Amino acid sequence: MIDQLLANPNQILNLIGITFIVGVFVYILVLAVLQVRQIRILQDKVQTDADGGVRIVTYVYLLFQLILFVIAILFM
Amino acid sequence: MTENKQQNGGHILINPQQLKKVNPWTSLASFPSNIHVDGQNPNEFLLLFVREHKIILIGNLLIYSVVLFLPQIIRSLVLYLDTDFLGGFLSSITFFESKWWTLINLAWYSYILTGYFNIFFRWFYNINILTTERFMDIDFTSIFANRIESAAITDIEDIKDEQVGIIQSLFNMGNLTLLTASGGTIFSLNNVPKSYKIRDFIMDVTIQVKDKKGPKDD
Repeated sequence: MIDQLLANPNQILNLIGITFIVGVFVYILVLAVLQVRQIRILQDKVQTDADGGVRIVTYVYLLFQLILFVIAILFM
Repeated sequence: MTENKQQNGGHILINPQQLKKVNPWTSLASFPSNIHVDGQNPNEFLLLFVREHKIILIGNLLIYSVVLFLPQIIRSLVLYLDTDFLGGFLSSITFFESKWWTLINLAWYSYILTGYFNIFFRWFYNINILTTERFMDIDFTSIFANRIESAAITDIEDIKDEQVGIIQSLFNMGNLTLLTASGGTIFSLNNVPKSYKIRDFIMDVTIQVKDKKGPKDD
């Protein structure tokens, strides 16, 4: 497989590109999950009437990030 | 129980009728009945709820919006330079028409969304609360950390209020610094609306508590 890759420089560039983009999207997803986790911790510490709304917004946010990730994978 | 009967709320006496439902998105509210903090005692009530002024949130969101169009700016800049100085060398690569450019854009807007989310919730969860027993400072410092500091009302010794700059003067907000008796903890409330009223309110509560407890022996 490595010989095949070396024989075709475009394939190597594609592989580097795909790895980079997937890495960026995984990084953004991890950031999103950590953000939502931190928000949950703070929701435990201060309870307001907006908690339900905040919870829904965080789920929609995570779902949206996941959809963007799937679109990116499919686009590759 | 008569309507005027006061209820013992921790160190100070408050009238339960003073408690009211407040908008949870507000920057400043007194006697909120619908906001609760972790570890709140049954006879402990919230007296004051403070966040940064909303204009700070709007300002931060607007500043962050500058980077929203960064990919388009880079594209325009590269194509401009290419036409004028490189004689169309970069255009021959056709990178900006490739799937990679679309993917970079997608990743960029995904990251920007994370930034907007972060700015909003850092504002939403940077809260200062005065209860009938203590003062609390809750900070969403980063996505990896949060910080909660609290001090008994009786420990609050001095409050400094300052209004600096055009924005603070224009939107009637200021910075408050609360010093505790032990000298160990200093609370900083930055860009809070009507800071002079907050300072007055906290001082009134502190004096009321100290009067009730009587003078200290030292």
